[in-house]
Amino acid sequence: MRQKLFSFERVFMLNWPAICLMTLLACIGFAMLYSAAEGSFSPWAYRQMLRFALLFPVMLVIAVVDIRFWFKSAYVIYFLVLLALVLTEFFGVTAMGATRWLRLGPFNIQPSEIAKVSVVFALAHYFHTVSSANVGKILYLIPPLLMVAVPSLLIMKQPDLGTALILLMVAGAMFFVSGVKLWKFGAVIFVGVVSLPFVISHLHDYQKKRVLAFLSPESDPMGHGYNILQSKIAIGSGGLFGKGFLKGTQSQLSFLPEKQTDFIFTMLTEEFGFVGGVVILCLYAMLIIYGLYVAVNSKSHFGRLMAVGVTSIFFFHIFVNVAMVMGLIPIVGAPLPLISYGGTIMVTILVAFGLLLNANLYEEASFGKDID
Amino acid sequence: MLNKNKKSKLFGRRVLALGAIKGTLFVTLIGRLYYLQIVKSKEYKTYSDSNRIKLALIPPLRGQIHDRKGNTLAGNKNFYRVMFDPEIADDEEIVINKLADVLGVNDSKRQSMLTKYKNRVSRQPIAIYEHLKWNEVARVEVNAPDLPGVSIDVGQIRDFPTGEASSHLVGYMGPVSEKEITKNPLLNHPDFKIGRYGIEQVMESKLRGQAGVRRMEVNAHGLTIRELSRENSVQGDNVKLTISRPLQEFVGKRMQGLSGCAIIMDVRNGDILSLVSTPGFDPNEFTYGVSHQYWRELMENDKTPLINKAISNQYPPGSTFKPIVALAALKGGVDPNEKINCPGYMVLGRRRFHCWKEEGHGRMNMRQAIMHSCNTYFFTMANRIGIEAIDEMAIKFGMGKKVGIILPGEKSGLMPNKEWLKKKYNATWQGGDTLNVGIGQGYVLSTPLQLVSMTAKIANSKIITPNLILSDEPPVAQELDVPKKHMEIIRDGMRMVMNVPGGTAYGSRIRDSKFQVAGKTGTSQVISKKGLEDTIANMTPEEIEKTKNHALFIGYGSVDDPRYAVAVVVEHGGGGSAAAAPVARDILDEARKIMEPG
Repeated sequence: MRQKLFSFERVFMLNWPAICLMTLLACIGFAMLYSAAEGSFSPWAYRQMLRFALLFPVMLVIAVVDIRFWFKSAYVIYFLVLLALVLTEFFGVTAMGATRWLRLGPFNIQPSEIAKVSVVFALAHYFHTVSSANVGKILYLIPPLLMVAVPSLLIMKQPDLGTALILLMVAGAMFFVSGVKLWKFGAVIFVGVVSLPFVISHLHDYQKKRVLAFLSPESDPMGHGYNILQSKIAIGSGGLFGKGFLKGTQSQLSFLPEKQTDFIFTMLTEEFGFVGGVVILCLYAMLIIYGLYVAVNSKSHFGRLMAVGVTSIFFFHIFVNVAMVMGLIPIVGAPLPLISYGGTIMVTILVAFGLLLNANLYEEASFGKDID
Repeated sequence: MLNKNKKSKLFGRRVLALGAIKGTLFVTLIGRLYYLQIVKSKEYKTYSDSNRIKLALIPPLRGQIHDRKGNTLAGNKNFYRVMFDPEIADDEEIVINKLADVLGVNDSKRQSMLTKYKNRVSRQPIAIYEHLKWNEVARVEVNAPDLPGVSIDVGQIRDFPTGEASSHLVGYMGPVSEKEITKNPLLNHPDFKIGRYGIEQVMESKLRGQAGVRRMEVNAHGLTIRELSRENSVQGDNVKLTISRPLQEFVGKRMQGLSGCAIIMDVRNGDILSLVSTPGFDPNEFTYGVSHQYWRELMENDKTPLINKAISNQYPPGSTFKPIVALAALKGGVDPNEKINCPGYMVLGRRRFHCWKEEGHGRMNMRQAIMHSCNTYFFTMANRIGIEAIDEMAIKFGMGKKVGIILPGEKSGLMPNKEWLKKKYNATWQGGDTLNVGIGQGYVLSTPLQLVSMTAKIANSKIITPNLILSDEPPVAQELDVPKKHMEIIRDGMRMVMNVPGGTAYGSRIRDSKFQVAGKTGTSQVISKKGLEDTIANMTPEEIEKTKNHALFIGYGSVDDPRYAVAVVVEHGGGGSAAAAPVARDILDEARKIMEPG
């Protein structure tokens, strides 16, 4: 059965309740950016809304394009992004001590963000084509490991530890659902722990300081522990119901750095309290549950793995960001999907969400060497 | 198909497991949120408030010190300083150097400005240069566009319009010392100065007022966003003194160049109209933060500008003490008309006690003896009545104990007797000691304040306490326990001192029949004549100057209706009649003109 690559009617067949949920979260993001600018649409809320409006149709297009097209293009996309990463290494724009941006016409893009989606593509394609018997063989695990390792190392070198870690966790989730034996995960974790001192010695100074600050933020309140401490004060002082919209003193009086990006959850819980925080987490949980529901209901392994991958991108971003601002893990720099200000993360999230909708739309489709 | 099923089943199980892991992590996040926002909320709320709320003290305006007519003796005036906000300036040191150029300061001031900037502790603007003159303010304002972060701030500073003349009386303001910084945060305020010396010190609690508090919301950079609440400061109370500022200034001018003091008081109610000690110091210099050089000048000046001579220096009263000896003699039954011959000395045992007039005064009664200040007469009287009788009378007139003025540093003087000498020097009182006390020399010491207080008692036979704080209440005055006719005799003697040719202060009389002045000159020996003759040959002129006797004068006017009592001491002035009496005369005359105009 040959289908048209694109059909407008299929837009109506998309899972609109899920789209509404996603839009609701984005709207909460706009409100928070409005508050972060002390009650002003500029400079953040306005631009964020514009980006969302521009990317929303792109997401719909991605969602309705035949899943087989994505399946076929998966490796091509993967290698294009890998190329972009390499180019960034040589021609990237350096800012704040890191080379993460690649100038593309009028846009500065961050290939490391897109890399997450491309790795999901590549792994989904690979495991789609490997039989369950072969998944058990170590030889068959070498190509997917390389697919993850090459971009991870390039990203780590930029350096962008947060993104690299999220990428590794997303990949780990995909290996896990693909049926890789648990002891192999155990072995990898063991190697990781053993090599930790070696890794630490290769960390940049600012990364080391962040880890130290995480371990004891109160010891140096004006130094690198400042961000964590101020963030905890902001969240804690929010209490059950919060200080009210636009009334978060910690954020409004700029005790909180980067409140529009990494620390937006802090501001949200300062202004809306525990209740607000739980509501946001529940909305995110519904999004994750939707993603896993799509994964379980997809007939094609490519669709399933894509759904798991996309869901994991969402989940790990949310978890790393929220745990970081609450002082549970070191500050590694990870935006909160749909709420944090930022163009590249918006592209990543909407593209990823488009793919999730796509897997949902084509959950009955079967194709390729989806054997065994 | 079986395999395919197997792959699906495994996938299904693994997705469920993944979901469970993710669910657990979500619950962890919610648990952490609960811990921060519910369990620890109170603690973090406190942190948050202390983060954003800054308290700032509003220093109170200090109460003014007025004279009896409401003229200012110590007030407040605006002063200008340059504030520098490093947050605004891009290149701080360049701006500071430019500011130094605009102000035209020397290199050491420039360095101190840079040091102030480097040593700053907060991100608040710092006062980088203080006490600008008007033209400096104008220069900074004109150059404002080139000086980012620089602004002019107006503060309040203590101002002493009478300067040196009232320095010992009013005192000065100085910074709070480390030891004094107690729990009162006001004392820690950089603008706060504390009253030192004089009225500023003793009336500190009344003058200070109460600090206000501003609660301000600040951002992370410590910059004020808005004021949350304000509790205004309460201005300190004004203090009204009995002093007359025009008279105080006149006396200050009249005494300029002299080392000494003058006190004038109203004998009817004890109001001190003027109290001057010279040389003084400029209290304004102290407020500006006294310079090292000025401080050294004051410390090294042997005319002791930092001592209030009117209350803290003790002088032998000399002949000004003779009226007291006369009263003691009268009480002892001496006939005032009895004439004592003065051959120029008196012999006691094997010693000769000299009168100041070598050729002698001839025969003198009591009035004449006071008028001519004849030592022989008073040697005789002292010898006759004894030290106890003199002691008793002197104590009645307030000698030997503090008068009780509110100024700090008052001395009690000394009225010696036999027990005192025994106790102090383990020596036996000799007849010669009594003779010396009889002419106000020897061990007897008095402060000028005691002398003026004594004079007031002589003038109106009432026990009046000198006071400095103006009060509406009528003074409580007890009659002095001395017979009126005795008092009239010594008053007459003191009148003759100034108004009869040959009186020791006749040259300083006031030629106005309505304002006749009575008085008594005195000379207090700095070094004994005999000792001086031995050493004078080897002394420099400055040292010789210092061996000159102190000149004293007490007096009151008018004779018929006493109102003003005065005591003047001119250190190393020589004789009382030459150095002190003219000053006293001018002061009394001016006092009358100022207090009773028209």
